[in-house]
Amino acid sequence: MWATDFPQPFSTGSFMKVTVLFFGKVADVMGERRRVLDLADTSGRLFDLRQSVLEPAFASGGLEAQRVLMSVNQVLTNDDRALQDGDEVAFFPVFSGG
Amino acid sequence: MAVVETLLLPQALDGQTLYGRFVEANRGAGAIVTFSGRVRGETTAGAVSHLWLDWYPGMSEQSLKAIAEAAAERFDVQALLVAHRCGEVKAEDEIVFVAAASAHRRAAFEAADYLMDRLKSEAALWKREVGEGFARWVEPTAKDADDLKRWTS
Repeated sequence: MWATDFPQPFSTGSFMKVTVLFFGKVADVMGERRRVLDLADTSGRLFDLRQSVLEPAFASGGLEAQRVLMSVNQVLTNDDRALQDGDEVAFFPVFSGG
Repeated sequence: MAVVETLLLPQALDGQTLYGRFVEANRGAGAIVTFSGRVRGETTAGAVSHLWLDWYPGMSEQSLKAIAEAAAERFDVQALLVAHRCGEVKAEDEIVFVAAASAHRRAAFEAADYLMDRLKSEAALWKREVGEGFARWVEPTAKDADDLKRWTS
Protein backbone atom coordinates (compact mmCIF):
# COMPACT_ATOMS: atom_id res chain seq x y z
CA MET A 1 0.00 0.00 0.00
CA TRP A 2 1.10 3.55 -0.69
CA ALA A 3 1.16 6.12 2.11
CA THR A 4 -1.43 8.82 1.45
CA ASP A 5 1.18 11.56 1.14
CA PHE A 6 3.24 9.55 -1.33
CA PRO A 7 2.57 10.17 -5.04
CA GLN A 8 1.21 7.09 -6.73
CA PRO A 9 2.93 5.87 -9.88
CA PHE A 10 1.55 7.22 -13.17
CA SER A 11 -1.25 8.95 -11.28
CA THR A 12 -1.42 11.76 -13.84
CA GLY A 13 -2.45 9.28 -16.50
CA SER A 14 -0.29 11.03 -19.08
CA PHE A 15 2.14 8.12 -19.44
CA MET A 16 0.66 5.06 -21.13
CA LYS A 17 3.25 2.39 -20.77
CA VAL A 18 3.92 -0.93 -22.41
CA THR A 19 6.62 -3.24 -21.10
CA VAL A 20 8.69 -5.07 -23.70
CA LEU A 21 10.57 -8.23 -22.69
CA PHE A 22 13.21 -10.22 -24.58
CA PHE A 23 14.14 -13.88 -24.09
CA GLY A 24 16.65 -16.41 -25.39
CA LYS A 25 18.64 -15.43 -28.45
CA VAL A 26 16.50 -12.33 -28.91
CA ALA A 27 17.66 -10.98 -25.52
CA ASP A 28 21.21 -11.92 -26.43
CA VAL A 29 21.17 -10.09 -29.75
CA MET A 30 19.28 -7.08 -28.37
CA GLY A 31 21.65 -6.85 -25.41
CA GLU A 32 18.76 -6.20 -23.04
CA ARG A 33 15.92 -8.07 -21.35
CA ARG A 34 13.38 -5.38 -20.62
CA ARG A 35 12.35 -1.99 -21.91
CA VAL A 36 9.45 0.24 -20.91
CA LEU A 37 7.98 2.37 -23.71
CA ASP A 38 5.52 5.20 -23.74
CA LEU A 39 2.69 4.11 -26.04
CA ALA A 40 2.39 7.71 -27.21
CA ASP A 41 5.80 7.34 -28.85
CA THR A 42 4.51 4.47 -31.01
CA SER A 43 1.58 3.86 -33.35
CA GLY A 44 0.15 1.75 -30.55
CA ARG A 45 0.03 -1.34 -32.80
CA LEU A 46 1.84 -4.57 -32.04
CA PHE A 47 3.36 -5.11 -35.50
CA ASP A 48 4.72 -1.56 -35.62
CA LEU A 49 6.20 -2.03 -32.15
CA ARG A 50 7.90 -5.25 -33.24
CA GLN A 51 9.34 -3.55 -36.30
CA SER A 52 10.61 -0.46 -34.49
CA VAL A 53 12.05 -2.27 -31.46
CA LEU A 54 13.72 -5.13 -33.33
CA GLU A 55 14.76 -3.18 -36.46
CA PRO A 56 18.43 -2.80 -35.44
CA ALA A 57 18.72 -6.57 -34.96
CA PHE A 58 16.97 -7.30 -38.27
CA ALA A 59 19.21 -4.78 -40.07
CA SER A 60 22.41 -6.28 -38.62
CA GLY A 61 21.30 -9.80 -39.51
CA GLY A 62 21.39 -10.79 -35.84
CA LEU A 63 17.72 -11.82 -35.98
CA GLU A 64 15.41 -12.93 -38.77
CA ALA A 65 11.94 -11.43 -38.57
CA GLN A 66 10.15 -14.68 -39.39
CA ARG A 67 11.98 -16.48 -36.56
CA VAL A 68 10.87 -14.15 -33.80
CA LEU A 69 7.72 -15.15 -31.92
CA MET A 70 5.72 -12.81 -29.75
CA SER A 71 3.26 -12.78 -26.89
CA VAL A 72 1.00 -10.17 -25.35
CA ASN A 73 0.34 -10.56 -21.63
CA GLN A 74 1.99 -13.98 -21.78
CA VAL A 75 -0.25 -15.37 -24.53
CA LEU A 76 1.37 -16.27 -27.88
CA THR A 77 0.00 -14.29 -30.79
CA ASN A 78 0.53 -13.89 -34.54
CA ASP A 79 -2.04 -11.15 -34.95
CA ASP A 80 -1.62 -7.42 -35.02
CA ARG A 81 -3.60 -5.50 -32.44
CA ALA A 82 -3.93 -2.19 -30.66
CA LEU A 83 -1.90 -2.23 -27.46
CA GLN A 84 -3.34 -1.09 -24.16
CA ASP A 85 -1.79 0.76 -21.24
CA GLY A 86 0.01 -1.76 -19.05
CA ASP A 87 0.35 -4.47 -21.70
CA GLU A 88 3.37 -6.76 -21.50
CA VAL A 89 4.81 -7.66 -24.90
CA ALA A 90 7.56 -10.26 -25.31
CA PHE A 91 9.78 -11.27 -28.22
CA PHE A 92 11.61 -14.62 -28.33
CA PRO A 93 12.70 -17.47 -30.63
CA VAL A 94 10.98 -20.85 -30.94
CA PHE A 95 10.95 -22.82 -27.70
CA SER A 96 13.48 -25.52 -26.86
CA GLY A 97 12.97 -27.49 -23.68
CA GLY A 98 13.57 -31.02 -22.55
CA MET B 1 -9.51 -36.33 -13.45
CA ALA B 2 -5.87 -37.11 -12.92
CA VAL B 3 -3.74 -35.31 -10.36
CA VAL B 4 -1.33 -33.08 -12.28
CA GLU B 5 1.73 -31.42 -10.79
CA THR B 6 4.22 -29.25 -12.68
CA LEU B 7 7.39 -27.68 -11.33
CA LEU B 8 9.82 -25.21 -12.90
CA LEU B 9 12.96 -25.30 -10.81
CA PRO B 10 15.81 -22.77 -10.90
CA GLN B 11 17.70 -25.00 -8.45
CA ALA B 12 18.78 -28.63 -8.59
CA LEU B 13 16.20 -31.17 -9.67
CA ASP B 14 16.32 -34.46 -7.78
CA GLY B 15 14.39 -37.08 -9.73
CA GLN B 16 14.95 -39.76 -7.10
CA THR B 17 13.27 -37.70 -4.39
CA LEU B 18 10.45 -36.77 -6.76
CA TYR B 19 10.04 -40.44 -7.67
CA GLY B 20 9.77 -41.44 -4.00
CA ARG B 21 7.17 -38.80 -3.38
CA PHE B 22 5.24 -39.76 -6.52
CA VAL B 23 5.15 -43.47 -5.56
CA GLU B 24 3.99 -42.55 -2.06
CA ALA B 25 1.17 -40.42 -3.47
CA ASN B 26 0.09 -43.15 -5.92
CA ARG B 27 0.07 -46.30 -3.83
CA GLY B 28 -2.90 -47.73 -5.71
CA ALA B 29 -1.41 -47.42 -9.20
CA GLY B 30 -0.62 -50.58 -11.15
CA ALA B 31 2.03 -48.86 -13.26
CA ILE B 32 4.44 -45.99 -12.80
CA VAL B 33 6.64 -44.87 -15.68
CA THR B 34 9.34 -42.24 -15.23
CA PHE B 35 11.74 -40.47 -17.54
CA SER B 36 14.85 -38.60 -16.48
CA GLY B 37 16.51 -36.30 -19.04
CA ARG B 38 20.12 -35.32 -18.49
CA VAL B 39 22.50 -32.77 -19.98
CA ARG B 40 24.88 -34.56 -22.34
CA GLY B 41 28.53 -33.69 -21.80
CA GLU B 42 29.30 -33.90 -25.52
CA THR B 43 27.56 -32.41 -28.55
CA THR B 44 28.57 -31.83 -32.16
CA ALA B 45 30.12 -28.50 -31.09
CA GLY B 46 32.37 -30.12 -28.45
CA ALA B 47 32.43 -30.71 -24.71
CA VAL B 48 29.54 -28.96 -22.93
CA SER B 49 30.13 -27.50 -19.47
CA HIS B 50 26.55 -26.40 -18.86
CA LEU B 51 23.28 -25.29 -20.39
CA TRP B 52 21.57 -22.01 -19.79
CA LEU B 53 17.79 -22.41 -19.91
CA ASP B 54 16.24 -19.00 -20.27
CA TRP B 55 12.66 -18.73 -19.03
CA TYR B 56 9.74 -16.32 -18.91
CA PRO B 57 8.38 -16.29 -15.33
CA GLY B 58 4.67 -17.03 -15.50
CA MET B 59 4.49 -18.06 -19.14
CA SER B 60 7.04 -20.87 -18.80
CA GLU B 61 5.21 -22.40 -15.82
CA GLN B 62 1.92 -22.06 -17.69
CA SER B 63 3.32 -23.93 -20.71
CA LEU B 64 4.36 -26.89 -18.53
CA LYS B 65 0.91 -26.94 -16.96
CA ALA B 66 -0.88 -26.82 -20.34
CA ILE B 67 1.19 -29.73 -21.69
CA ALA B 68 0.62 -31.85 -18.57
CA GLU B 69 -3.11 -31.12 -18.54
CA ALA B 70 -3.38 -32.12 -22.21
CA ALA B 71 -1.65 -35.42 -21.38
CA ALA B 72 -4.03 -36.02 -18.46
CA GLU B 73 -6.94 -35.40 -20.79
CA ARG B 74 -5.60 -37.72 -23.48
CA PHE B 75 -4.44 -40.77 -21.51
CA ASP B 76 -6.08 -42.87 -18.84
CA VAL B 77 -3.68 -41.86 -16.06
CA GLN B 78 -4.18 -41.27 -12.34
CA ALA B 79 -1.38 -38.81 -11.85
CA LEU B 80 1.30 -36.93 -13.79
CA LEU B 81 4.35 -35.07 -12.61
CA VAL B 82 6.49 -32.79 -14.77
CA ALA B 83 9.58 -31.17 -13.27
CA HIS B 84 11.79 -29.03 -15.50
CA ARG B 85 14.92 -27.07 -14.71
CA CYS B 86 15.54 -23.49 -15.70
CA GLY B 87 18.64 -21.35 -15.32
CA GLU B 88 22.10 -22.91 -15.32
CA VAL B 89 22.19 -26.71 -15.57
CA LYS B 90 25.57 -28.42 -15.47
CA ALA B 91 26.59 -31.27 -17.77
CA GLU B 92 25.33 -34.64 -16.49
CA ASP B 93 22.76 -32.97 -14.24
CA GLU B 94 19.07 -33.73 -14.57
CA ILE B 95 17.22 -31.24 -16.73
CA VAL B 96 13.76 -32.82 -16.81
CA PHE B 97 11.88 -35.50 -14.90
CA VAL B 98 8.44 -36.81 -15.76
CA ALA B 99 6.36 -39.47 -14.03
CA ALA B 100 3.04 -41.04 -14.99
CA ALA B 101 0.88 -43.34 -12.86
CA SER B 102 -1.95 -45.46 -14.24
CA ALA B 103 -3.86 -48.66 -13.58
CA HIS B 104 -2.15 -50.47 -16.48
CA ARG B 105 1.22 -49.90 -18.14
CA ARG B 106 0.29 -48.68 -21.63
CA ALA B 107 -1.28 -45.39 -20.57
CA ALA B 108 1.69 -44.54 -18.33
CA PHE B 109 4.26 -45.33 -21.05
CA GLU B 110 2.36 -43.30 -23.64
CA ALA B 111 1.74 -40.35 -21.34
CA ALA B 112 5.45 -40.08 -20.47
CA ASP B 113 6.40 -40.36 -24.15
CA TYR B 114 3.85 -37.70 -25.13
CA LEU B 115 4.95 -35.35 -22.35
CA MET B 116 8.57 -35.48 -23.48
CA ASP B 117 7.78 -34.98 -27.17
CA ARG B 118 5.74 -31.89 -26.38
CA LEU B 119 8.17 -30.50 -23.80
CA LYS B 120 11.02 -30.58 -26.34
CA SER B 121 9.24 -28.19 -28.69
CA GLU B 122 6.52 -26.50 -26.68
CA ALA B 123 7.84 -25.80 -23.17
CA ALA B 124 8.41 -22.02 -23.08
CA LEU B 125 12.14 -22.31 -22.47
CA TRP B 126 15.22 -21.37 -24.49
CA LYS B 127 18.29 -23.53 -24.35
CA ARG B 128 21.88 -22.34 -24.76
CA GLU B 129 24.79 -24.77 -24.80
CA VAL B 130 27.99 -23.48 -23.28
CA GLY B 131 31.33 -25.27 -23.59
CA GLU B 132 34.98 -24.60 -23.90
CA GLY B 133 35.32 -21.94 -26.59
CA PHE B 134 31.72 -21.98 -27.74
CA ALA B 135 28.19 -21.02 -26.78
CA ARG B 136 25.13 -21.47 -28.99
CA TRP B 137 21.37 -21.24 -28.78
CA VAL B 138 19.75 -24.59 -29.53
CA GLU B 139 16.50 -24.89 -31.44
CA PRO B 140 14.33 -28.01 -31.81
CA THR B 141 15.61 -30.34 -34.53
CA ALA B 142 13.72 -31.87 -37.47
CA LYS B 143 13.66 -35.05 -35.37
CA ASP B 144 11.93 -33.17 -32.54
CA ALA B 145 9.35 -31.89 -35.04
CA ASP B 146 8.76 -35.44 -36.30
CA ASP B 147 8.42 -36.70 -32.72
CA LEU B 148 5.76 -34.10 -32.08
CA LYS B 149 3.85 -35.10 -35.23
CA ARG B 150 3.44 -38.64 -33.88
CA TRP B 151 0.70 -37.30 -31.64
CA THR B 152 -1.18 -35.23 -34.20
CA SER B 153 -1.44 -37.68 -37.09
